[in-house]
Amino acid sequence: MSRLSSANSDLAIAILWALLAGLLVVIGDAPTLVRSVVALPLVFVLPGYVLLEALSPRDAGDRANERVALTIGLSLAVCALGALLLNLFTPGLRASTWTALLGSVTVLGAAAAMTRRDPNVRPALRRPRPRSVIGGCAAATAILAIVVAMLISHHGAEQQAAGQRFSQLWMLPEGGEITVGVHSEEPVARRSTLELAVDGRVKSSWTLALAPNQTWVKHLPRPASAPGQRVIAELLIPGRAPLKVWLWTGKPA
Amino acid sequence: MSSASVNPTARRRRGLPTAAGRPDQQWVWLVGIALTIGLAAIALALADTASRQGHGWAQPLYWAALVLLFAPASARLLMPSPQRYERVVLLVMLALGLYAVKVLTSPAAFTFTDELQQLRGLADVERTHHLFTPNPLVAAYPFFPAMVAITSAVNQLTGLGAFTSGLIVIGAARLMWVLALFALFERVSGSSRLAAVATVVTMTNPNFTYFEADWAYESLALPMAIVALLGVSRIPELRSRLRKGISSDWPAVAIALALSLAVIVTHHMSTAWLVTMLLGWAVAMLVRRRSAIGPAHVPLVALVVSLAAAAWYWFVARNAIADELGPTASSSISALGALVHGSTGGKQVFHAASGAASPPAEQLFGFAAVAIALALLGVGLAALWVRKRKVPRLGFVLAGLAALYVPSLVLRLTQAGTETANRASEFVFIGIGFLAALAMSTSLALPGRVGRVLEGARAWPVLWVACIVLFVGGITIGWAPYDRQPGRYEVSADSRSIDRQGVAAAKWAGAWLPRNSLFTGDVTNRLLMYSYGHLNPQSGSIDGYSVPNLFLSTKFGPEQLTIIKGDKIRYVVADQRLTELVSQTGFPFGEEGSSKFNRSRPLPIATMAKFEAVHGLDRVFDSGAIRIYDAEALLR
Repeated sequence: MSRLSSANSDLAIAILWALLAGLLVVIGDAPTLVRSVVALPLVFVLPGYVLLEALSPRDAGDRANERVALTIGLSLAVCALGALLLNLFTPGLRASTWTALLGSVTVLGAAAAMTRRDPNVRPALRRPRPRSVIGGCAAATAILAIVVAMLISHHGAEQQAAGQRFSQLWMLPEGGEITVGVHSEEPVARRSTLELAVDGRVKSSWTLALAPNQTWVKHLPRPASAPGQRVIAELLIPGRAPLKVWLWTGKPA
Repeated sequence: MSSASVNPTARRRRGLPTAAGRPDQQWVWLVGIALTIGLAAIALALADTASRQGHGWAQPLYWAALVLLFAPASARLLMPSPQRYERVVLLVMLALGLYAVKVLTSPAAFTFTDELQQLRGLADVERTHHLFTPNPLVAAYPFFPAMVAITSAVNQLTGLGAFTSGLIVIGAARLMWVLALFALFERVSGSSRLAAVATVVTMTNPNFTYFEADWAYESLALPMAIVALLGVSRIPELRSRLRKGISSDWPAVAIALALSLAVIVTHHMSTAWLVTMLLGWAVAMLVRRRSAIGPAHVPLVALVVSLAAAAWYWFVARNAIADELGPTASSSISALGALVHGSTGGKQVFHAASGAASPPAEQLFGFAAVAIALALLGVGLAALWVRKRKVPRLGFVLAGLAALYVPSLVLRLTQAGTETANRASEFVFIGIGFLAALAMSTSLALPGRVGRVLEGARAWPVLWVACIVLFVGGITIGWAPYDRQPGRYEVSADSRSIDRQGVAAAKWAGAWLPRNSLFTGDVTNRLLMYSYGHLNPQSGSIDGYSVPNLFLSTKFGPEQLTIIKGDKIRYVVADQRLTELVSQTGFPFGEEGSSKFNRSRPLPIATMAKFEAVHGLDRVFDSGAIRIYDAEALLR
């Protein structure tokens, strides 16, 4: 009888899953949801599952919680020790090398498990027992409620962040030039005035009306100023303390 | 006599399901408790949102929600009636429900200190595709790279982003923790009920709800270490499994070794815990060769793991571990010595460095939790003595682990030892959990009133109330009030100091300033500018001057210039809010130079304003609260 009997259907699925993950890497640019559905079992389940089946074949006396813990543990151990292996080679830790590593372990482990498993063992994939269904439903209820709670909490965090209103002003020297920038983290578009002053006298000014999350950047020749004086950029926002940045001229004493 | 006519007590004694344990009853309990956990999570989310908005009822709702989350599930788990399967599902729901408490606190981004310290490590791995990039904040992190590497694998393969990937990794670790710990306790105690009791008590440790749930290497390593111990405990029963080929114990030993080696490259203290457990177990087995596990296996695994850990520590991570753990250990020991000799008065417990005291109710729960833990330790040890011939060797090792709780309490009396003591709790409570289960199941048969009291205390409702007190008290002991819930910005208050303006300034630095430039600032901005800004922080001291004195002085003089030049500090990050609010931890720049200012007041305005007049310090960035100065001209 072929090793790919119903008793080994779980191992066959593991191999196909690993190949599918490899295919996704070759294709690239798959949607995040698809990548997640394929990749999460490849990281957390498949390597540990096949290694456990190869080294410690399933038995009637086995406890499901132990096998689940060992499956996750061995999968993470493969990742942890595999990372050190990948680090030895030039390509290093990339999606492609991770897929190759975890896929190889899965395929080889599944092949080894097929040779070691008793062909008379009951199939791994079978109809779930009623208690498993109800236990799963109970856990799913709790998880669903936790997801709702996370959405509520996430919304609260966003509201709090939105309540923080500020703008950023910067001025950086670049050789003979300066870069002046303004970024708005205000909740609505606001008018502001940017003034560039040298030795205390305003040389240029701009009226800005930046939308939320909008950035304004200007590259300018660095204005000449006397040693010990400053080139100052000041952002005036109505009802707020002005933002001010500066560059000193000349060597410090 | 048919089993249906046996009364419930007799049924329980004979191992038959009681009325409450009938399958149809189980589902009512399971679904009911699932709903209470879900309801508690939603209540917690509302409490956190209310806390962000500054409502006074946020904190009472928070505590009510926590008790709602913990109490029903723990009650059912302590009852004698549930079947094994029900206990496993309840434990999983409870462990994941408690994980949600931390996730709900920071639902959109990493905000905990350890998380931000490691975030840059993840970015470095994904930028360089290699491990071991130095981390100036915590030198040991790069040498225990497994957690960051696994998160990077998840992130690169799924595209979910660093935060979601991190949550999934730690969620999987939490699932692994509860399943493996229950299995380990079940093997040692021989009872699913006692295993559930021990697991519930372990969950009440002060670090379980928050610290063990953050995206940090210990949160992954400790569950892996428990799985490794489980792997070792399974070795003998796997002998007859293999149909052909390798017919010895080696495959099972290989599983245990693979798990243990993974722990070694994940976290130093978890490795130390695992090695101690294995060595203790090996010694106990060699002393009394009556265990079911063949005498060769545990000592062999213990030896190999010890040698591998020693090799990793010595050849790879020696300096980093010395840098990280050396000062902590030496300061804890010297603080303890000073306390014993009476040269210091010790720390005022339940008081922040700024002088603020925890509310009396929190203090009461904290002291009650310590008293209960000590009582469980004492009675559990007595129970161990009574059952010494029936308890497996690993049980004695767990009892030894629990006994470390007493010295850890003494360390809490010192400022320097508090963190060490707090970090020890997740390890020692595994032993206390086991002793609690043993205490519950063993009659000490003491005469007189004490005996009657102890016998009465073995009833599950008594232990249930004790567990609730342990759980609530554990949180008040282990986690500062400002850190339990989100809320308005506070100065140097861990996650409460991580706000949008700080993160935005750091991201600006990451986009506009040269990568790896040296900078300094307060502890929060050091974290943010390092993790998001890709700048490298400077702290400590240079030429005898403490770097924080750059900020703590109201004048910019030769000392400040020496600090900038000596440490080659290119950027100075000045957060104006330090002059407006009191630091919650009392150490806005770390503990160096902490004696230089009054911790019960904000810093003087002049400490930040002094930079404005320094010729050569260009202010290159201003977002209102945060200002960045470029000291390049001073370095020339």
